[in-house]
Amino acid sequence: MEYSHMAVSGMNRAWELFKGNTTLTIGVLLFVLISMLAIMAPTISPHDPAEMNFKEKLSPPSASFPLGTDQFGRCIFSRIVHGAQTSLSIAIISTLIVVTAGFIIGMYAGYFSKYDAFLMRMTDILLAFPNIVLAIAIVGVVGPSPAGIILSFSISGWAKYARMIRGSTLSLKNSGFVEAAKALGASDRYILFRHILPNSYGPIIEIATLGLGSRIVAISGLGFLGLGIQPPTPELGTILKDGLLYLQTAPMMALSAGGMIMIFVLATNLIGSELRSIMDPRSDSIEL
Amino acid sequence: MIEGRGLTKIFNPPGKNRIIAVDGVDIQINTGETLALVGESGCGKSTLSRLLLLLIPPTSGEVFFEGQNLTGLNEKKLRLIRRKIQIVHQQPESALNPRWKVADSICEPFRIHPDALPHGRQVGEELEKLLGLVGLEPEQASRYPHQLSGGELQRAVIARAIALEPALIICDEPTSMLDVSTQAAIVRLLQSLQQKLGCALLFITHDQGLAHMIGDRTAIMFGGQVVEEGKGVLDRPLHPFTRRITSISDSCTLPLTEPQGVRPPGSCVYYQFCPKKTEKCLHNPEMREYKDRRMRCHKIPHA
Repeated sequence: MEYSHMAVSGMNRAWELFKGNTTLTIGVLLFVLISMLAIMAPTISPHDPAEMNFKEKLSPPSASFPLGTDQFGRCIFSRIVHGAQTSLSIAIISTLIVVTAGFIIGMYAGYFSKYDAFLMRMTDILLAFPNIVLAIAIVGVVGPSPAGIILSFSISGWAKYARMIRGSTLSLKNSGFVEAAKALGASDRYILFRHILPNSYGPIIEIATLGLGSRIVAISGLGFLGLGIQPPTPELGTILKDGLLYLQTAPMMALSAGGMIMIFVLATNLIGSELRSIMDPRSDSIEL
Repeated sequence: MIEGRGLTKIFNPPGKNRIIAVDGVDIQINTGETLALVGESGCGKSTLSRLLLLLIPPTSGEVFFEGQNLTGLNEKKLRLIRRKIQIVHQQPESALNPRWKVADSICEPFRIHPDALPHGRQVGEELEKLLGLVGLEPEQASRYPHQLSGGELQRAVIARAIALEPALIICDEPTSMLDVSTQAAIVRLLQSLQQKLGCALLFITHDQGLAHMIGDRTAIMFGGQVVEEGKGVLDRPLHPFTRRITSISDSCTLPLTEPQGVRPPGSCVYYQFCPKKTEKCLHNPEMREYKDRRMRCHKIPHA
């Protein structure tokens, strides 16, 4: 096998990555599309998402209302993109929190065996609850604000990651290169952050990307149950729930909210399934 | 230079039988010499090497390095001594971080001990020197571990081990995972490096031919104990176990390989296998000096 060692610029490398990987390309394109819609929500939405036009309620798509209006005559398109913005920020922030917490707790438990039993019993307790049930309970206590939802997802979500990272830490702890670094006199911090962390995040990034999608579903699920972001703030799950009542008169309401959730989950699943092989240095497709 | 006194390691896994991996071993390696440590797999060779490196704490016993007792030292002080004792692993594939370029792994010692870099020298110059010493091309070092062969990887591991100019390199079966022609090249490399750098080698192997060739002295391990140790041990074996592995049997009978009966508590470690056991052997013999060697056997006459 030939290995080229020319200096490849970052742009070229990214191009090589997408070329010939249709799954990843589609996933990233969908992800970028939805992210752009969410980020630019205030600029691209033709109306204020809370603005009501009772004369035009439940109207079909038109030039003024690209996806029609809801039962209060609010612009569905504006509400969808604003709702995507809220859901996406909550999902990304809570995913970052659970992955970071999972890494810290998992690496500690795996590397320092004296904390292992205690930390793993804590994760066992959390894993015994279905995530969404725990999240609903916590939201019930702290209130259905964005911060409350982030908090509830953070508390209920880290255990899965901690357990995975503990597992990979346990096996890496006894590997030759960690032992060699110890024999060289490396500190525990050096070993954890230079050796164990970089060799653990491949599978974690995959799971975290998939988790991003399932968190969007969970946020919408809370909204659907009436426990999510409260009206009048637009939220995909709430729009979906309201839309179901008007499925025959204004189908765009439920369909566009559901479609938005579906496309986002599809994008994260496509990216997640490809990421692992890309992150692995042993896959010869690309050098990272 | 390095000395282990009464080293014992007992593993006590919960819910399983305790394992006495290393049992009261006295071992000494002098500056610049090569000690070959021979034994079957599972006899405690690797555990002994990890005890000498203080990668695992001994259950009892002490390790002295240049007269200093290492067993009581805290991790901070130990770190400074660690650079003097290095290890070369059996599996070169897992001895290098798969996410790092080989060159980065070789230079790792200077990242951990920036003060170890000779004054005014760049890491790049040191890397070039080390690559030259172990016979690797700079182009090979710019690759990832999965892109190199086992022999090339083992050269890289050796380069990392000699970077800080250690006084002792522990080679834990460094050639057992390599093919025969590469084995010879690695052994020759280790020998020439030893001459150039003047470091001592603890060469762990189960290959007596290799031990015979490389070792100034040989220590034979069985069941966690060093049973015989000295200069001509493999040429003129005395201990029944050494005799068995060197295939010189006293009679025409084949050497025993299956354990006979059970080992009574407190008996000689070789009791179940020994063709010449007597009632005396129910008590574990002490390590005794005999002619040019030290051994643990009741058969040798008292001086």
